[in-house]
Amino acid sequence: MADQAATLNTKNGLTKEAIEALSKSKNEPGWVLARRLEAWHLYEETPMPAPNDELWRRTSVKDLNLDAVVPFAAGAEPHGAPAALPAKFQQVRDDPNAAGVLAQHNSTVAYTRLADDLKRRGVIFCDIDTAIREHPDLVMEYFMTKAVTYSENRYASAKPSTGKSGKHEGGGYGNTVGDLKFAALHGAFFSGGTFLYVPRNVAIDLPLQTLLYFDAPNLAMFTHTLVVLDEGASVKLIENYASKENETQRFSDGAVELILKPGANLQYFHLQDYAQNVWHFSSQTALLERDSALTWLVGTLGSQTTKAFLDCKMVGTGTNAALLGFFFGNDQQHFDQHTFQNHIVGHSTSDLLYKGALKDRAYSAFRGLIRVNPNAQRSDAYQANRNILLSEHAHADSIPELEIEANDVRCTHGATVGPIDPEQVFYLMTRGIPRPQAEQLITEGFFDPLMQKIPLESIREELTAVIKSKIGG
Amino acid sequence: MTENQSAFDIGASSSVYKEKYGFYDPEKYVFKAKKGLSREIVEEISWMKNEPDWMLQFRLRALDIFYKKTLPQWGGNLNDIDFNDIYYFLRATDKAERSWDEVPSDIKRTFDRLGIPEAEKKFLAGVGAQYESEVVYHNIQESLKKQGVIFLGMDQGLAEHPDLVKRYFGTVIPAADNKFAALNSAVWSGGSFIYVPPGVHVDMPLQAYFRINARNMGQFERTLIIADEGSYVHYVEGCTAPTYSSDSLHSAVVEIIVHKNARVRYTTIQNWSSNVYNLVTKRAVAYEDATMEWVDCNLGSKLTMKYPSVYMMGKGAHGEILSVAFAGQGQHQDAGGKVVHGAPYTTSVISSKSISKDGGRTSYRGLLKVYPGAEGVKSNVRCDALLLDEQSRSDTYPYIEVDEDNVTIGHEASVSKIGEEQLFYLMSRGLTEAEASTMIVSGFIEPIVKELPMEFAVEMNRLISLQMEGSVG
Repeated sequence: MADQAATLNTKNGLTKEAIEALSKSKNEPGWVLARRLEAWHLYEETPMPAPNDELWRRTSVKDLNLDAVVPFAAGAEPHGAPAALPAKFQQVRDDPNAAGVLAQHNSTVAYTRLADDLKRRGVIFCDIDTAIREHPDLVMEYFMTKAVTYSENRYASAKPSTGKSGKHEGGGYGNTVGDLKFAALHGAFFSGGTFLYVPRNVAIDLPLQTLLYFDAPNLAMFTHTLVVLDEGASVKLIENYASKENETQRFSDGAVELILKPGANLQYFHLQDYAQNVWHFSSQTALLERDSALTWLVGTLGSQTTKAFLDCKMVGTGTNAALLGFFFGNDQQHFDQHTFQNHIVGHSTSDLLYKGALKDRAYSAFRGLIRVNPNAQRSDAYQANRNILLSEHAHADSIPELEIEANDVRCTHGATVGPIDPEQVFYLMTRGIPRPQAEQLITEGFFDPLMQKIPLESIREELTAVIKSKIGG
Repeated sequence: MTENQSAFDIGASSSVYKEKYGFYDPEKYVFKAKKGLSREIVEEISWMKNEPDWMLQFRLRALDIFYKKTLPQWGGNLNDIDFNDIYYFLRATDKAERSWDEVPSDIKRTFDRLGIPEAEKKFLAGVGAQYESEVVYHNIQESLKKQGVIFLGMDQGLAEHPDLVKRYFGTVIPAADNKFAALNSAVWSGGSFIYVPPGVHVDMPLQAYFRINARNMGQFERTLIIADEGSYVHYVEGCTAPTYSSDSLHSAVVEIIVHKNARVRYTTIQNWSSNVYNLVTKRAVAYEDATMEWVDCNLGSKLTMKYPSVYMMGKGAHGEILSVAFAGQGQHQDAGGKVVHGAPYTTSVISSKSISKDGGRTSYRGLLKVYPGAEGVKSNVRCDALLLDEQSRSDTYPYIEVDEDNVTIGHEASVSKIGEEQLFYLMSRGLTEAEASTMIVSGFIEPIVKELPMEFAVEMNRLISLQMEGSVG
């Protein structure tokens, strides 16, 4: 398989032929190719996001060059560990504190491991290609059909407008399809990624961990994560995204689908530390059925440009979602994140906290929408976005939005932007700590409550080190 | 003055509105331009007013811009407005009078019913009354006139003070600002022109009252207020119209220049009938240590889209926007405010309270912008919404854009329904549910209502009770 795939390396550009060749090299069944082509068709039909598209006003794709990208590059041999791979690879592979690991190099997964007792209990943890081969029914049912889809406007109201009372579709967004473009492209070229299925009532205590790493020149990464938790299942999954620093512009267009059946419990950590030449697009959707609970943390440290759509669809009553995020931008990094707490039925709680620090000329736009649909009585939704600006030219936009169509609800949101509290700095300086260290301590403290949610000590330490180096230089 | 005839009778969309303000006079006009918009109509308006050539050119340029700009696709639904089914200019009388006795009797009767002449005697320093396209009555206290305060209809202002008008007109809101500003710039007529000389404090409010009487009428008043150094003025506007089944358009432009150390307060009590599109651009520029305050109460209209703005362009300037919106059946209030910090140590507060009832929709839409170099900015935005029943809707779209690190920015919003415990408490004290609800709503908006002059505050509370009539919480 790797040999066949290697021939694909020479083909540049995103074309229909490339999709056909990719599918053929993977020996995919016809329905997979059909879905890829359907997605490609939609991608071609959808215009590139324009600056006047409300969802793309803050991120221009004018400098994104997709002509030169390579849609696929085979990674290291399965289970081999070439010296070229970073130490991190080895580290993830051998992590004793993980119940299972998966390591992807370029477009293919090089290594997977899952504790035997979990295998016996029916847990599936593999890459998407393997899942297509071995569990086609599960993939067919859940892969880009329920959570991340590229055929519907994610911001369309759950209930059609009655036309009464001057109601207008789409709220502040207008009629936009710009967000579908890259989800469709992903659907056409996905490769590698993580498939996790946990059967009914299986609870996994130790976390599962993945590393998705790429270094091939001009490679476009299309990683896909599909997590399906059956009724009452519970698991923690930590994903690390990284890439090698080099001159060529890189492109990553990923999708994450989290499907929680009734009573399921998921902790999902999406930690992105790409090199600062990567354009990172990410469509992530969680679907929460009755009484399920989700903790969903997105850490954004790397990339040149990040454009992420994070949708939390609460389709069952009694659900509980904690949406957490941290981001730290330096140099000229550009982060543009959209979150969507979509209360489709009532009696559910969502609580969002995104914290960011920006340095140098970094830019962040956070746009968070809470929608409570007309039938979603007794919803509680909270949202807070806190930004600290560490230098004069850093820029933060914060747009916390509410669309409330039920009256028996509690919804609040808050946003703040400001420098590090001078009183805190002063306090530490009176204790003999010089200003730079004081600012560093306060910034670390700012992120600490979020870091503490991550269940692996090694990852916490690593992230803290990255943040520390960003503050320092 | 009986209660039924008060000046600020600015009721609501209730049936009471129809009886009290929904009356109309037979249409007898000195001049009525033909329906629709064209270059000829614009030239005709300018000719009728005997305007200088620069104003005609200004209008024609604006008309071109209007044709080029597309309708906004956010906010409310504007697609049903037929620009060719509107009368752009109606002249009801030959000149603006300084004595009510000289105003044509049928028009005077209208304003008597609205209680304007009574109010003038009691607590206003000056009054302007606009009927359809033009100002029919204008007067100001002699003592103010002696101090050099100018308070005229805009047309008269242009005729008598061409230099002042030419210097400021269209400088705060250029015709190209938005489609409706362009429309107003092309066909404007009426409105107020106010100049307050340095150091002069106008202690009692100046009031303008706008009345639409004809069907399918477009009212395009244009107001320009210049507060010279260290001066103070409070301007109040009110408005009503008969309830017709066909829609009318009200599209005003209000420009305010607040010079060093001056303070302007602009209070609006908007109570158009529920067939009026109210699409208004209001903006003030505040220079060094100046203060601009908007008190913006929106109770009437079919759709209001209005975001009073303060551009703080001098060090230490302060902007304040207090907004109350009440949307009943068939109404959409898309209101809010913009504060733009273009200079250091400027401060601003936006406080918004909105209430939705009987399927009405309120949207808060706001912008808080800090330009680079505007250090030491402090701004706080607070939006609260109350939903009175299951059919109603409330949205919050706050935009926060910060380009400077040394700032303190906060935003908070909440949406809730009337607390059952509050209701229960009041009802246990012998109030009916309707009385209790009304009391809670009045308490909810009290922080803003208390900023109104006493007579207006009394009226406002009465209006809220009217809106609440028949409500069961």
